[in-house]
Amino acid sequence: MTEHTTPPVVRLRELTRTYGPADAPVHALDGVSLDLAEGTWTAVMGPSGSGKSTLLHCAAGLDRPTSGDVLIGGVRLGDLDETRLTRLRRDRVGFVFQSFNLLPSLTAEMNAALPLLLARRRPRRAEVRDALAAVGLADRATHRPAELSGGQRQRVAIARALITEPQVVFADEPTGALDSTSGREVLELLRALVDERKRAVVMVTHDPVAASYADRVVFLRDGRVAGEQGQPTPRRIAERMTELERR
Amino acid sequence: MTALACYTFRARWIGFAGSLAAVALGVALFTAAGLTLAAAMRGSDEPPRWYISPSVVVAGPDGAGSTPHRSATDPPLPPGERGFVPAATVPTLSTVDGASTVIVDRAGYARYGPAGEAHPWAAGALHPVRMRDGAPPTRDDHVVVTSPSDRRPGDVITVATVSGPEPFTVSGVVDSAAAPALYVTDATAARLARDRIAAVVLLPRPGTDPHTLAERARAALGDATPLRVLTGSDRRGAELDPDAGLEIAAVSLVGTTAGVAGVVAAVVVSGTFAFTVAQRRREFALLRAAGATPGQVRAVVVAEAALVGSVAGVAGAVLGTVLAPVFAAWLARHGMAPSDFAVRPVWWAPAAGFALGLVVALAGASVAARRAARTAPVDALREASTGRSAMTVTRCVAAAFCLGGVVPIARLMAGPAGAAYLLLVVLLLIMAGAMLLPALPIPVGTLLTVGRGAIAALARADVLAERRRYVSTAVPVLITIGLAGGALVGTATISATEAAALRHRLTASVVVTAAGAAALPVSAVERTRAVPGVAAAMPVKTTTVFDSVGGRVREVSAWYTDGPAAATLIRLPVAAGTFAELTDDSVAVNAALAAAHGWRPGARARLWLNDGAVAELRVVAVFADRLGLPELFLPWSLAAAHSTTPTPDAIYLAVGSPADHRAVDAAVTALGGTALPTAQYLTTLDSEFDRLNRLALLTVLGATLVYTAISIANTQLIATTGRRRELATLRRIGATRGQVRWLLWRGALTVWSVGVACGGLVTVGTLIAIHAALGRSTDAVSTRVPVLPLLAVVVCCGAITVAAGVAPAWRPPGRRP
Ligand SMILES: Nc1ncnc2c1ncn2[C@@H]1O[C@H](COP(=O)(O)OP(=O)(O)OP(=O)(O)O)[C@@H](O)[C@H]1O
Ligand SMILES: [Mg+2]
Repeated sequence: MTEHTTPPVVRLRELTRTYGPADAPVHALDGVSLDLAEGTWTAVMGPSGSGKSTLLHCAAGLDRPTSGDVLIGGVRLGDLDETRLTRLRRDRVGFVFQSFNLLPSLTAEMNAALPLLLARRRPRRAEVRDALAAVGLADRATHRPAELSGGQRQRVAIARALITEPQVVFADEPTGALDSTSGREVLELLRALVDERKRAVVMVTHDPVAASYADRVVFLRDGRVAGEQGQPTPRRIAERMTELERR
Repeated sequence: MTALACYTFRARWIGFAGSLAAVALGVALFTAAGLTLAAAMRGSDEPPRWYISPSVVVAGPDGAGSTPHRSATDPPLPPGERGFVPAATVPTLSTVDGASTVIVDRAGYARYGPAGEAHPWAAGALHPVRMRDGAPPTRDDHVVVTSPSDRRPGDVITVATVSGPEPFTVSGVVDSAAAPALYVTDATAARLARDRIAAVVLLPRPGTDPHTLAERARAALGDATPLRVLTGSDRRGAELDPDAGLEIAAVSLVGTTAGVAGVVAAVVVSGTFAFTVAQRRREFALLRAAGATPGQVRAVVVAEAALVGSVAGVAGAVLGTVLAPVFAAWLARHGMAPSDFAVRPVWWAPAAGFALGLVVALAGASVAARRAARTAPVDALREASTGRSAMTVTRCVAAAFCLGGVVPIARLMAGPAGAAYLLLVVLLLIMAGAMLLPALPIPVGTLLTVGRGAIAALARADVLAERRRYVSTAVPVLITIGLAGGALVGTATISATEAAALRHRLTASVVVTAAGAAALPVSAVERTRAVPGVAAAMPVKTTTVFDSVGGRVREVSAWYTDGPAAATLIRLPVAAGTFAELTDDSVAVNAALAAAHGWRPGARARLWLNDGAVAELRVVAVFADRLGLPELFLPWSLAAAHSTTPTPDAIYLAVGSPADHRAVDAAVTALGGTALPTAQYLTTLDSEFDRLNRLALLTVLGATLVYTAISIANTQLIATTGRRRELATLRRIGATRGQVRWLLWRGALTVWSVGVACGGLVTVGTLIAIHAALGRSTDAVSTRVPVLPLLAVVVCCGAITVAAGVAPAWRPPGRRP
């Protein structure tokens, strides 16, 4: 890997995010700085409530940090208005939520093609079918979310995140609701994305095995970065996690 | 974005069923009322019924105003009254070149069978007439009747005239293409019409165009004339329409209906849209997260509204067109419209209904769309919530605005169009109530959900977190109860107060009125005066005259009466002058009129009387504005000259004891009159008035209340259906079906209570406004609360709210959202 030679796609500078009233604030993020390079896969781990989802939302431009900067492809998100920010996100960022991912009224196909529709690009049928085929759902294209299993819904969400060929894909526990086989398929999908298409992937997970597919693991605790591991293995990750949770 | 909206719409039009129903029914209501209104406003394009043969008709004015070109906003003459042509113009018109014949048409009150007017025989040239039997009138007691008639030449008939029943000998029977009438000699026609000329008609010489002839007649009359020169179907304007009064009443009734329906439909539709958009917050957040810009989210919402608005608009316009004839037939059957009242299709009523639906849907949606567009993408991850809808400054300002609007309008409730203004006040109060509604759910909900059980706690938490849902679902309850409460209590209170005021004003113990359909002749006044024990007799004819303030011609209510008798038979709050002098070319005015014109006793008042003629009258008295009294009194002598039918509506008498009414009755029977103690007469008058009031209220509010009741069910269904996921979770974690139902029950109860509380406030507000408005012109406002009908409305609302709120939970909740 040549992290130091390629410029980072996403840069986070001293991010903080505070919830709640001023007199009793919850510091979900408390000064996080990270660089995410092209062609790398970063796993974010940490105890529940440590700020992983918040970090992902802020980094992806879905939420605005209380302070600090997010730069995607060199553009400072804080400088953009809501419409410009949405356009930038549409073009460069893919996102897979923890849950509630799909619009219930649209078919799998329509859901996957949604970002293209919103960008006023007429999606080619093959393009959408390919994206669904890539997540193993070629035969479910015309089903509505209510007619899909939890794992299938998650895979439609991944297909949607990938359809605009974004530079960076954020995924919040994408395998959380999947059995080990479909979980592995999703992980291999992401791995191929990183290796062959040189995308950046940021994934939150609680599963050390899933995290071991990544190139590095960043640990969060109480909204702060609490260390990281390169070339992770499930065992080392599990040890570190136990340590974090114990303290 | 339209494509996406189309797709969503096609995919879940069931989900849009609520909005579709709200728009479609609202549009149907408005369209039906609009079509009926169009039917009631007919007339101008109908062919003449009397002036059928080609002719130019010179007729008197049809309204007040000093110029021949009255402005469109100037009020017309009261129904049943016509303007007259001065005799001096006859020679002028006779010299107009191109006329083969000049006919002086008179129309005196003369009632026999279906005929109501006596015309000179010469008027037979105005329409096709064929002598069937007998000969034209040659003697002054001759009359020609129109067929079908069971009278033969030589028969003696009794005709009701202004001066009493009169015997005539039938000289002939004619077939006539015109409306039934009596034809008499010129001299008799002049006598019966009290020498007044209804119209001068020029029959064009063959080869002369009526329009050319009309131009010449206009030139001959000069520019300053108030007379009308009419040709073609405009000549209908010179004929008295016996249904005119009913038609005007129907127009105002149906107009009010359309107005109320339009406002209520607008409020309900925009509210429903705002609510359904608020309910789909997560969906919009997901769209945002998937890359939709705020503008795109707005566009989706607006495009959906346009789709729903047009689909439902078409359905509603069709439904309304189907319903309109039913409504029209109902009006005619209950005597609130002419018996031949029928709806004719006009394109603009359904079009206006469609436009209303679309515009209101778009307006309601665009407000909601702006809120939807502000949804943050991360909201997709939070639990769905429709939000809190706090009391904002905007809402307070809007409420203050509505309440402020009540003040100037409330004053008009004491006037002749009081019922319409009452409804306007009620609607304004309802809108103010709707604005202040967010303040209510929490206190009411907390009050209703006492208890420590899990369900009570859940219900309490729900009110706190989901205030918007409570507000949105309570709005139709508020409208239903506010509208029914305000209108019922208001109408009952106003009419009870007016009835009490009239009773208080009249000291006459006996009243004489017409026994049958024929008018009470003036001769009855003298006849009653001759009855022993009668101390005073006062004929009263109610009418409308006109004044002009700042160039605007206004309608003024007036009584023709006998001044000296009035002073003893009416409790008159005279402030200056005396009614004893109200005998000829004089007037007594109330304080408001006097103040508007600066009139004092001795001043000269310029008015237009009920035939549109200008009169310069001496002010003899000024009296306080009191409910039960007209704005001005005119002497009886003027009625004879200016009323088309110068007969009294009633004769009030001062008699030693009310029991003496029998003697009076015996004296007037031969004249077609009947005598009753005043109290008894007023009671029958009141009950008839109340019956009409009830019918009118039913007309104006019936359909609208059905609509709002349906909207209650509609929003409740939308709300509970939107909670499916939450309820399914509850069931999964162990709540029994009964507990879920109990939770919904409590929610529905809160919604209903909030609506009832706010509707009650609207009713109380209406009463306060009425007290303020009437209190200035009467000593006591008689508050009337029709408890039973109100209770029925409140209970019905409750039943609907609960049924629709709980019903969706009877179906097993779906496994997946
Ligand atoms: N909308 C919110 N309002 C208030 N506090 C919030 C909100 N969202 C998150 N928090 C708080 O911020 C902190 C971080 O939340 P976050 O969702 O980022 O945790 P997480 O690391 O993703 O946890 P998990 O692994 O359970 O998903 C938590 O303490 C949470 O309670
Ligand atoms: Mg999380």
